[in-house]
Amino acid sequence: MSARQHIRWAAILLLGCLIALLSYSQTLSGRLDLTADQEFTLADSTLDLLGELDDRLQVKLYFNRDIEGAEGLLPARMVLEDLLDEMAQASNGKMVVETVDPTTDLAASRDAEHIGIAAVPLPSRRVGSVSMNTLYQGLEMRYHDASEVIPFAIPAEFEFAFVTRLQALLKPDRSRVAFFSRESPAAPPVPGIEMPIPADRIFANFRAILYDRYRVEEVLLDADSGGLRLGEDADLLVVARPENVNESELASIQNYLGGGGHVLILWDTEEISPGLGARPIQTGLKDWLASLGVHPQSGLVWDAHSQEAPVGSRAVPMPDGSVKQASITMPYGFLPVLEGDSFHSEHVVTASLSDVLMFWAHPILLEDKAKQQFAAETLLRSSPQSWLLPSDVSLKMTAENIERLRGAAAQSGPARAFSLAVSLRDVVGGQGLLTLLGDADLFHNASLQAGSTNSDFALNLIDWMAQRSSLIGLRSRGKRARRIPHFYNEYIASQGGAPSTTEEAESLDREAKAFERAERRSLAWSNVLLPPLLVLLLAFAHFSYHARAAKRPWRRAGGAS
Amino acid sequence: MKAFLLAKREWKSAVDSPVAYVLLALLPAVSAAFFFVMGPFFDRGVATLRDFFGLLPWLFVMVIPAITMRAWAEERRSGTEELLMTYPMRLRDLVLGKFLGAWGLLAASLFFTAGIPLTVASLGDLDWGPVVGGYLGAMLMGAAAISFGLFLSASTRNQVVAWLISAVGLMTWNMLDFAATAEATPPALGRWLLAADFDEHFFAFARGVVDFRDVVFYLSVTVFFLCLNGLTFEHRRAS
Repeated sequence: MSARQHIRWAAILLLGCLIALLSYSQTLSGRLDLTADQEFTLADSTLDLLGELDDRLQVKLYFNRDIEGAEGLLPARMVLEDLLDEMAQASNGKMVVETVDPTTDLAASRDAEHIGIAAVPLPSRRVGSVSMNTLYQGLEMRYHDASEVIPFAIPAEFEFAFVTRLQALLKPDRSRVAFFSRESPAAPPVPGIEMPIPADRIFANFRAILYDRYRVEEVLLDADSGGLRLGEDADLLVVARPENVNESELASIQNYLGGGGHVLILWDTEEISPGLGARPIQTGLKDWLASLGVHPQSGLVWDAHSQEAPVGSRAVPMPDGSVKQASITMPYGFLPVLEGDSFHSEHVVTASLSDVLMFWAHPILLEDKAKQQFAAETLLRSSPQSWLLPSDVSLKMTAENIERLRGAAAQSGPARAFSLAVSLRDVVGGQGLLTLLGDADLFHNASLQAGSTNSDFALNLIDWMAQRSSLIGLRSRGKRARRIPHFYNEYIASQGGAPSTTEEAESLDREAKAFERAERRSLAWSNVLLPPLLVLLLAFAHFSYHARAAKRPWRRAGGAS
Repeated sequence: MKAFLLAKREWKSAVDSPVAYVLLALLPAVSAAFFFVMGPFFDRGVATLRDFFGLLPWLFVMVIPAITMRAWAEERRSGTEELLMTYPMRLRDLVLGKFLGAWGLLAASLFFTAGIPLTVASLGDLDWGPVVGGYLGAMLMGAAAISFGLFLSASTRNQVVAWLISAVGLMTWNMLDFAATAEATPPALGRWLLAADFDEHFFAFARGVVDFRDVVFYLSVTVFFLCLNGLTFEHRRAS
């Protein structure tokens, strides 16, 4: 064999080695998670639960790996398999994962349908036709005689979904949330028919998002009901929009707190309706809260950092000569948007939140007594550009009224941030935990949709108060918004907030936009131009040094002078 | 150690050439332009470098062939390749020296992009883990791309041809995932293509995850092409 043939064979051998090595490396596992929140590492709560397994946990993953036309989805979907592998390794052999493909296995397809794992249709376009593929991405977990199902596992939320179900398997007694409200009872369910939610059951969605993880029970607190007992009766008591709470009901709440219970009060000083105005609510708890140094205020917070409300429309001439109606929106200060500094940055409930949208906001005044004696903490606060307006002002969402409200806010005094949700520890007898939300509408059906940031806040709050705060970290993984400053808002804030007239507002808007453009440009172009300038400087220094050195006819011996 | 001597010589000749300065300035300027000026960074308002690292594999397609194109092709064209072969060095050291020289230039070029994470960190709460992971991944991916470029540079005496085939080769390698997801590709082959895709192994680094499999991928590709580079010379010597 000639030398050239040897070389060719060596190249082929090298290629074979490369392919073999790469194939083998795919079977290995091991990785380093450099993210600050360990977003891609199993959480301690997951490892603790896996360590508690005393019998085999059988996990059956219904997963069709190869989907024609959707192979690009595979890397993200394979995160599920990676996480399951890591969990199986962490369980010391107690967790066994079996993967089945219902698209090729008829029995698996029937099983999937039977336990509620649905095939997600995935259209695949071809020239001249559209075909439909199916995507399976669910799993069943069996432990002892019980089973739990994740119908469709979303990779980013998978660990949370898995752990909550594993917890349900290991600890069948779910935490109990007692719900006290004046709402009418829910209509009995009729199979196959989705009943409309009665108008007065405004916390139906709030209850619905709790059902997944908690046993939610409606309770009465008067003397006849026997009151609540901590632990045996409830892990958390939710008092939703209290109205005319009588002495025996108050005594029940106080006794519960005195026994170390946790109470969440969704307060409302007034029932707000844009058409009808504000209806005062006698809660019956005001004096008791005042004795703790907590004063829910009447009046509404007007926040310059707020949602936009539609105030009308105007005709806009289009380039083709036609005229279109464009809707006009204006920031409506009674619908604050809470972001950034509005959240307690160190608190487990609020640290990971990106934004919360409020529908009306009543402030809470805290005395020093509450801060010192009960370690009161503010969980939510309005932006520093906020004012307090009386509740009897017109709430109409019209341009004129919003202008009027802006003016009234500016004249009402200096702007400041208002506490909107507070938490007190060691209340009554030194053990209880009390959280007060200034406006119950934050947990209203309209503002709590599954998956919204408002519902994240609601779940974080409930998980923390029911002492399952380890789950908060799981759900919030990778969701921590690492926001950069909004130059437009910063400029508005630096100029003292919302002006009172339209002309001033438009002028401020123009200035803020110009400021934003200038800030962005300076940052962007300094990054584009600075490195080449630096390199140019280096090149100049290098070449001028060598040019000078070349002119020198001699060099000093040994570098000495 | 002899490899480092040759790397030093490569570095010295690079800084004496204006082309190296253009390359040093090009990567940071273009990546900053794509990230801050043309990209949605300010509109999204989130302190993350995911988009910057997403650009890197494509910028490498242009920049790395420019770094490697003259490494061997220029030696061949100017006839200094034979002189190089007479150095009291083993072929392994020669190849490694060229590689280290080019890799150092890439490292310097990446160093000048440090302004981007520093700017983002000054604006918001930047997670440095993915930044460290991203730069580590960029160096490993760069190593693999450089060894690929050096191998192609050794196969031709024309610098422009060397640049062109390296750029087209890297671009094709980066686009294997498109082929993997094409309708005509059988699923099993698609899986293989995805595993072989060049930039697919980089994205975990940019997320802040250093996966053993990705490290092995880039290291073995680097070693493979460096060996092929050596075999090219053996082949030429034998013929």
